[in-house]
Amino acid sequence: MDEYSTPAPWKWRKVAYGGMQPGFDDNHTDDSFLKDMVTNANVVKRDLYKVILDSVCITQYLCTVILVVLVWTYTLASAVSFESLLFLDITLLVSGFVLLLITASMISLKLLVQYILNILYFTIGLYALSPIYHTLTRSISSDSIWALTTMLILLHLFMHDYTGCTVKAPGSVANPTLSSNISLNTSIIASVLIASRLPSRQLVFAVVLFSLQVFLFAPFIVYCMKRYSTWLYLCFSLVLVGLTLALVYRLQGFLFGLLLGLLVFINFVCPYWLTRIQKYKFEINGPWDEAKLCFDITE
Amino acid sequence: MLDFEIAKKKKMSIKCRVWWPKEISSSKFSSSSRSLLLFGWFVSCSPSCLDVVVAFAYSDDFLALHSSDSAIQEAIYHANEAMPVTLQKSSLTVLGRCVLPFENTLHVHNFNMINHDQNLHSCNYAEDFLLNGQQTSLANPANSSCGCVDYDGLLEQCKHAFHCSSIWIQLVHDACSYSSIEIAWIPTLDHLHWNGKVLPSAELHVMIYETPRYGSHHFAINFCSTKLTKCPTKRPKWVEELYHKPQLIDLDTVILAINCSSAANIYFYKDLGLQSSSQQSVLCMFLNFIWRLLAIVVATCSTFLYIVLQFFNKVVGSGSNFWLCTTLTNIFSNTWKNIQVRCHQFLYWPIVLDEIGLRSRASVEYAEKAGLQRHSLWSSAVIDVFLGNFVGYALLIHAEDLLEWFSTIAIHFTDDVLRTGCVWLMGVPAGFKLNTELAGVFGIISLNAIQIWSTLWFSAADVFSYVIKAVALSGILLGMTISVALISDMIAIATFHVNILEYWISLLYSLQIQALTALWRLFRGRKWNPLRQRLDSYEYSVEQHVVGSLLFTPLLLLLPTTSVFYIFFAIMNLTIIFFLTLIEIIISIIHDTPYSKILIWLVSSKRFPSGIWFETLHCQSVSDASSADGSLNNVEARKFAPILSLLHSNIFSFGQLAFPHYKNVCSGFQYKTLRSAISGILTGKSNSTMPRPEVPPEMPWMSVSYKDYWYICYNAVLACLQ
Repeated sequence: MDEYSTPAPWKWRKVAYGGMQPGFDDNHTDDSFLKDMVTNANVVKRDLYKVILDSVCITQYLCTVILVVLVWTYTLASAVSFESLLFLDITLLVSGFVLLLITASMISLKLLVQYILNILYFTIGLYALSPIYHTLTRSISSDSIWALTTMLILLHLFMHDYTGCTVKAPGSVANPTLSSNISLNTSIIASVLIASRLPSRQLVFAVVLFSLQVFLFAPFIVYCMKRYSTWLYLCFSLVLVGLTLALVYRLQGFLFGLLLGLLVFINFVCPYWLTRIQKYKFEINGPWDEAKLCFDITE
Repeated sequence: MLDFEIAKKKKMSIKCRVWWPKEISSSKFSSSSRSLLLFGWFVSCSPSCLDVVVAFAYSDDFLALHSSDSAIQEAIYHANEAMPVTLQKSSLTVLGRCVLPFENTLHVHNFNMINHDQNLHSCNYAEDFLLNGQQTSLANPANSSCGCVDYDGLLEQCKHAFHCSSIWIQLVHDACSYSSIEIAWIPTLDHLHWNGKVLPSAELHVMIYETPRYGSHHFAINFCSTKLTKCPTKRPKWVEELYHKPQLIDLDTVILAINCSSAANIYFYKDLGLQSSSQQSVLCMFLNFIWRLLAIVVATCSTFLYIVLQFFNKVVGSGSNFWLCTTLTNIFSNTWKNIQVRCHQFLYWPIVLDEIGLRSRASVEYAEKAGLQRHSLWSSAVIDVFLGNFVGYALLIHAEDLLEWFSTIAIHFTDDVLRTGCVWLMGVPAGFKLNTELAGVFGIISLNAIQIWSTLWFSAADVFSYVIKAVALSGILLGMTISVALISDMIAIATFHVNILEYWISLLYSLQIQALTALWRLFRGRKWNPLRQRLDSYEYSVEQHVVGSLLFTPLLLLLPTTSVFYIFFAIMNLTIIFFLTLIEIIISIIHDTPYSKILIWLVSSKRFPSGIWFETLHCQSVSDASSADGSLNNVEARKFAPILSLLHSNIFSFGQLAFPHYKNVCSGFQYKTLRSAISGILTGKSNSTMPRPEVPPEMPWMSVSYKDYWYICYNAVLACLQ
């Protein structure tokens, strides 16, 4: 009716009570509806250069894993002898300790002694278990073992915690998550499976020791290095990538091309792609969101 | 009284059931008797129905001849004292009269006076009764001799003897004969007097029963006595009260009264001094003498056995200090249990047989039940020894053949089954590719164990003939169960190596399975909480993860080898245990079968009633006796034709008779134990949870003196004759 369509005497208020406000419809949408909306509040502005530098850690770890697989391939093909492997192990151990001493900020003598003791127990245990591993998979065909190992390594790469350091470093904040535990377990099982195909007991011991050293300690060393100095870390990664490419090239050309492509893709193409589609990001937050605790619980 | 008025207002007629013994209807009474005096019980559980259980009847001239009212009263009182306690509540009384045929033509109207009360209120009805007496004489001036007044004195005495006044019913002879059931006449109700009022309408239902006697038949309404004891109701009391329906018939008390009727008659008769001295024939005396001789012989033999058993007990008692004796009893555990059961049977048979006061049990049902238990021990022992003689002599005769057969079996088992099996497992069994080293280790250990054990046994082969003779001898002397138990123990000893191998392999297998489940939980980041019986999330350290992964791989990949060996030995062990369990079941069956009950059931199955049923015959009332008198009350003179029923009982079938005794055998085969046994097998836990039938429990050793024991045996055998 006409006498009811006069303009409302008061403004529309956003209240939860009071029933219908006269002059307005029940589903009236005011102009101030989205006043409190915040767009892209948590979105980080990404810089291409920084993203490329950050993706170096992925490529570096990928190359580490590929190096381990290469060592396995050469040992399975009987191209590497037990003594050279042992030499490799000891070199890695020593260089790792050196790097640790240089780069770690708070390392005490007691902690060092503890590390050495752990490694000692570890080595003795492996030496005792190696006869069992030697004949473990005799009855299973090689193809099954290789397929299983490949799948386990892929799982390991997917589940790996690239920001963490596998072994809990002193002073680090984050606890190892479930997926990082799974990745660690799969890597160990894969190395044991591969080791069980080797012809002699000493080779088994050497290979398992080598793989475990790399999988357990390499992320930790790299983490310490990164914390110490970014340039050192970048140089180390570059050397690592170069070494991997050279060795793969020696092995097979096709694989070299594949690896190069993969590295370029991860390191350059993906960051560019990420920064390019960044502008499409449209996140909205508003008073309608669930309340979130804004403080961090640390141990 | 108030209840009756209400009932009257509702036009509800009283339902009256008369339980009438067949002997009264089929027996002849002297011609001078006018009426029969009825004795029995009144059972009532609601104000609108009444059960009149007639136990026995005597013609009134016979009683008047032999005794006085007070003597009758005393006799009734003493007879009532001997009844079961539940029956003493509705006490044995004089019920009333039943007027015999030739008198019926003279007396047209007969009054029935019923004073109904529940035996709870003591003196309220005394006045009513007096009033009734007066009213009777007032209301019926035409019939001064209704006969009820004669019994006033008796009633007064009854009233003083018990707390409350007794009930009186008067019945009339109704001549409709049923030759098929040998009944010449049945009683009918004519009038109903209630507190001075005559109620001619009462629904009468006559149930005819044959008086139960010990050794002949009785009635029972329990289908299976064991089922009654299990009451699964855990509901609160108010729920039951909610569903409580008014009981219309107290059948338990009625059947109990029927079962006690014969005993009541005997007590009444004895107490009145009417028992005639029975003259024993020469045959009876001769039988008596022979029986005494037999009793002496049996008592002497069993006392001799008792002395031997006591000596044996002393030896065992002193020998139990040595570890050798205890190990022997553990090895021959089955035999030892059965020997103890046999000793228990030999010791206690006279005590169980000599049940005192059998005949003095008033209810035939109770007496029968107690009587059946008497013969259980000695019959079981005798049958056992009898069977054992068969088996023992058979063994003795065929000793050499048995020896040869046994050694062939043993060689076949060791070589073709065990050894070949182990060698097969060490190779590629059923296409499984096992870990060669581990399979080799297991195989060599098992083969060595089998080799050692079989060498031991075959070097002692010449002992076997003596062993067989010992088994036969034990069967002849001690019974079949002991020799069979001995055989089962020997089999257990002979297959000891399989048992040990299976035990160790199952231990290894179960440990491996447990370790694998724990490591799998480690991979998922979970830990078992034994307090809350659940899985909690838990963060393991890196070292734990490393060690866990390093151990997980070999455990998982070695599992097929262990499980194959485990399955093989588990199957061997289960087969052996299966045979041993079969033997134990046979022993249990021999122990538990109720031989005496079965024999009595075969001879006279009527002694095992399992329920009652009523055969209904209808009888049109001949005496449509006149309502010419008119109604004394303002109730219509309606006549109801009485319903006639015969009380029969169902008999137990053989299965229902014997099956409840095999509870022990079936106790081991419950669903729960089977399920736990199967899960134990799958996870490799030790198989001590296999179902085993239980052996009957033992009683303490007897330490009665030899002379007392002789007297017990003598009295027990003598008591059998009565």
